[in-house]
Amino acid sequence: MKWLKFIFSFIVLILIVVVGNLRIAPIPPVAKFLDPFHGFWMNGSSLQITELSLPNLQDKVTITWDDREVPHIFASNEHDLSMVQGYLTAKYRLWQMDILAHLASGRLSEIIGEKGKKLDIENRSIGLGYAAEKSLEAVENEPKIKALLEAYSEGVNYYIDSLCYADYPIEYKLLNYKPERWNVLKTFFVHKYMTKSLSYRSEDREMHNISAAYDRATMENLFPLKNSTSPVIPSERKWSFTPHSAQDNKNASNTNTDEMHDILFPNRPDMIKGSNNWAVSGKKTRSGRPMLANDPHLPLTMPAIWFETQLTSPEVNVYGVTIPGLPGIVIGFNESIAWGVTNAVWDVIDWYKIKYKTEKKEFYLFDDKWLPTKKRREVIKIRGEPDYVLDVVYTHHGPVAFEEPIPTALRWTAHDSSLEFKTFYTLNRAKNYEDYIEALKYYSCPAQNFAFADVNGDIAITHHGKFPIKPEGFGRVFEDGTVSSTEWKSYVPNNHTPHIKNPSSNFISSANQHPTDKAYPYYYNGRFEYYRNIRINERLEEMQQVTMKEFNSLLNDNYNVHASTVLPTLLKIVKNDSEEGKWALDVLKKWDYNNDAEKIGPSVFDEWWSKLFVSVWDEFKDGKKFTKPSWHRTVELIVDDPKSKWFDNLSTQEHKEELEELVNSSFDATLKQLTEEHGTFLVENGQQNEKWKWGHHQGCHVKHMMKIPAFSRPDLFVGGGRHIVNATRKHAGPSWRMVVELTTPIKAWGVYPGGQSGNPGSKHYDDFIGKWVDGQLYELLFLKDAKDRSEKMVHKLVVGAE
Amino acid sequence: MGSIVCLIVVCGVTQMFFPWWSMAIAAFVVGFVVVEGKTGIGVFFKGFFGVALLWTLVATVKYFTSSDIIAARVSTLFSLPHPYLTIVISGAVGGIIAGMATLSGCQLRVALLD
Repeated sequence: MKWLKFIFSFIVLILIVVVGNLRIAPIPPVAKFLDPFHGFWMNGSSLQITELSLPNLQDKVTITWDDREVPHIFASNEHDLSMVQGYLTAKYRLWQMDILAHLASGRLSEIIGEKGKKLDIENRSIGLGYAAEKSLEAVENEPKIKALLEAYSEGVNYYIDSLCYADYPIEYKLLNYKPERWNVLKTFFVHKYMTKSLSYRSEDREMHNISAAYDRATMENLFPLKNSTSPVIPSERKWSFTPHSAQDNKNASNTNTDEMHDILFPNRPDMIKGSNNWAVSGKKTRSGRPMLANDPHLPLTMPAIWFETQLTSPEVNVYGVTIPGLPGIVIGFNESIAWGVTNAVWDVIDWYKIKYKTEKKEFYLFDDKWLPTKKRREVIKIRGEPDYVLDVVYTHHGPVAFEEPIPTALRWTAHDSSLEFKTFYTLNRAKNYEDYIEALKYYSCPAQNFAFADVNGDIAITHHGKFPIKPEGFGRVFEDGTVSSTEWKSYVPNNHTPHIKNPSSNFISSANQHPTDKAYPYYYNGRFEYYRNIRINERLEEMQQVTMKEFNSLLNDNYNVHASTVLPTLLKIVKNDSEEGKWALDVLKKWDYNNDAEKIGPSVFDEWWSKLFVSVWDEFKDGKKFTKPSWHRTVELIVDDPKSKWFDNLSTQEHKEELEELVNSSFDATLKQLTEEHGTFLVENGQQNEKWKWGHHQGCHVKHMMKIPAFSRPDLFVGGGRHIVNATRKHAGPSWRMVVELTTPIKAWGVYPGGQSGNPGSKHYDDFIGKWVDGQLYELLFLKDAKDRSEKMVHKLVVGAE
Repeated sequence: MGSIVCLIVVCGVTQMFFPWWSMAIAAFVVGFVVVEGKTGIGVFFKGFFGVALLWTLVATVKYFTSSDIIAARVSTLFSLPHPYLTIVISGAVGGIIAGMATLSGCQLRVALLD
């Protein structure tokens, strides 16, 4: 009996210990997680760092932290600098860099199980691993860059090796897994993650379907290529070079059939978030020196995508932001220059139809010969499930990313060997315009608009990347992968990419729009921004005596150019006699087209426009096959061609709709939706309903990367919107705002929505958000040496050899 | 009372060096060596209170020194009405496991010696 009692209790004990140590998704291992000695209780705000376990430093390194927890690293050589950057980045953002590497390498399922499988399959099918390996190979020939990447990796690993369970970031404890050691390949994975996010955009398959459903002319009419009124490079630029020819590439549009294809993993450019950069020469500033501003727009996440640092050694003194996992600074300034980037939307992806010899996919047809394929085995380990094995077929075009309904190979510049890190290495150390041009030589993908300004008074902008030269109209639909005549054969030479230095307007700018006007001798395609650039260039044109205040006001500019071009027409058409309708129309008539958070006009307009847009393009509502024309093209039809056949709805064959009907029905639907969502327009005392305000209606949610609500910052009351300079949307927006004044010494300001720490238990996790919501900037403390501005510094640490 | 103090000290020291489950082993050993009790329930509650006190104490100190923000987030995560409940629940979870461990230890001694 006594033994029975013992055995019973003992079994219960073992059971509860095992369960307490086990994650039963979504519940973390309860006892392990709650243990105050090692569990989440250890993820409080960390004390100031008093030591770094970095045994391999060559010399002394001094680190000072300012009150925003930005580390300023002062090393005696580049090796130590890179190693300490790796260590500190891991210290603040380990989980984030680890998950980014997992995401890009198609290993998310190892952490979150079945739910990650679809994304893993996609990332492996489009060859992100293959691309990262190509970059790693390329850096073999660059010993200096390679050594710094390795030092960074080593720094990250010294930090990881110093950890025990209690020190793990809380996400590891919640999901019950361990950090993995870093390596240089993972740095390239993080780079390819960004490359995918910025350049894996193509609508060729959708354009094929639209051409098949209608005809090529209809497709070209709805998706015109060159329609920018305000390109990156102003028309004053004359293209004096002789363009390289597209050689014997032929326009393969005739080889397309009228078969339709479902698109399993769409990668549409309407994902454009809206980045801006600009610079003005000293003639337009109060200081007489150039100024530069940049706000890269990205999906907003917690931890924030950017990490802020100052990196100093005898070779370099640079300040700015980088993505955890990427050594150096991606956007920032040094003692001589400042630079900023926006995404260049020039299409760098084409899809080639492949013909296999047999179902074994061992050979594919190319110029009447059967060439052997290569297969890359991708083993996706799924937590709690058997492995999923995928053989991705590679042709000389690239990976066959889709086997169904027809095998299609992906030709993407991200798969070519390239040296983007050399670009950033050189920019970080650049002294003048010549160094900037030198830096860009090494840059391929994702193509960017590199804005530049320096203390010598120069400003410049380059729409730069590796761009295939194609004949007019090529690569807008599927191309034939069985013949060499359709291949990319040559690329726009470095000195032919769209570029301008010191234009007569005294400013340069970019906002994802067309890089050039029609005079530029090379053909390109892409889905470009139409509105933001117009507003930016108008305002820059007017600006004089610029200071940080004017630039920051432009960064926060909420003027809705799109609404200003279409709303007057809609208001002429619409008829609504309901009480609610009258109020709403009155608001719209009085609206000044600014998408400010406290206004109701933008909420009504935005919903109305979205509904109208969807009802106009009902022909293309099947998202698996089609994409929709741009807002700008739609406005053209509404304003200039109100009798267009596109306003007739497919579902009602008997009845022919007209624009007027669509405008009215979408307006009714808007009122209905807003009322259902937020209550009536007028509340007690005749007051307008607060919830209808744009900052509440659209608002902004900065979500944790794992979508954990408790670690997110929802419901931020901010303005802005799509195709607006301040392109803040519900889940995307200005991920970093920076203004640099190229005076001596350099002055700079910046803010990003988040905080330096990736730890949700730290007060530095989200401490910048208030300032970001308010549209204000922090002064960035760019130190001369470790003793500079000591009154602003809160902590200092000296490590390494004496 | 003595056995509760003993549990706090032994489990506390063990947990400083070993993972959370070492607490169960320590409580088991203390139960085997030290804890007396007329009924199973009594022994269980000695174990329970020992470690519940220890975990609550440590969690409280953490809460008021560095971990209030994370405790608030964790309480949101598990839809708890107040962050303090994270302290209470941590204590209870540690207590239940320690109670079972102490009881098992005590019962093993009884089975072996009697």
